[in-house]
Amino acid sequence: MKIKVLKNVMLKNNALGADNRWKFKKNSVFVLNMTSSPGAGKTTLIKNSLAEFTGKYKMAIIEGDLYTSRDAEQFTDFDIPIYQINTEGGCHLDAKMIHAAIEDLDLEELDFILIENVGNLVCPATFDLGADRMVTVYSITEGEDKPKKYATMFEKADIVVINKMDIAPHLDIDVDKVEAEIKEVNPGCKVLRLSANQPESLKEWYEWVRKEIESKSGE
Amino acid sequence: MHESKVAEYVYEIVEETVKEDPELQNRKITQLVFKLSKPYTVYPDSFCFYFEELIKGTFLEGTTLEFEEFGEDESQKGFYLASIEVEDPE
Repeated sequence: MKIKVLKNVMLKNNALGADNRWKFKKNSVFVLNMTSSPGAGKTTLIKNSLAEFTGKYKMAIIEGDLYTSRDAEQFTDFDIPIYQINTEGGCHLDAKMIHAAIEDLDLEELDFILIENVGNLVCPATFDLGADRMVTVYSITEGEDKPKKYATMFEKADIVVINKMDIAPHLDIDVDKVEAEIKEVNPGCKVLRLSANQPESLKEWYEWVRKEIESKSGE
Repeated sequence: MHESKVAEYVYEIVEETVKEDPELQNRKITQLVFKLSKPYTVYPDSFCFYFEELIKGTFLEGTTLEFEEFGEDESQKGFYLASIEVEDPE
């Protein structure tokens, strides 16, 4: 005998993601989920963003890492709450982990939460965390062909940051082609080119983040 | 590899479905049928590996897993538990 169920399995995660989103909205806190391959430059971009925004906004970091707290240790100079999640081998953060993290954070006191996801261009795309926006950091050393190869990640991104532009002259890569491919996968996506380690190249990025924080706090 | 998490979600959904449906209680579950859309966000081979490990020693041990793609006329996207097959009552 066959019993029809037809349940979306990912709703198990997404229902909690929706609950997180509601809590963020209630407290007018802007939440950004940062994804990329390992080594694409998320941590460097976060470090410079902290230097730019701490003092202007009340921030917190939720730091995802398989086993270590190496990334989180880079943020200890900033006087902000850092919540470390170790997935113990798990390849992504899920909504339940963020749910536990925000129990520990004083949302009412915050304007902006940065979530650094596990470095992985596949799995984090499938798990809604309840964040307002997802940024995918893509370094030009990863090659021209990745947006279509890892289409789900690029499809879901609200903004793609093409990183390590400072070494572009030394690489055999056509960045226009990369950008065109990103737009093909996700026509509405914003694309920025920068070098995360060079704060002077981050103006457009800061501007985008600032607008998002302001529009959330004004809701 | 996120299939290990998805396997846990499926286990919970089956448990809940059985709890809610008296027709399913005290019946051996023989098959779970999944439906999925392209591009895959859950890979059947990987999912089976984790799920079969997870159900060892549980009420689902021995259940077979079947995967079908959503047809063009179906609007669902993603990975669904479509149906549960149980042994007929004696």
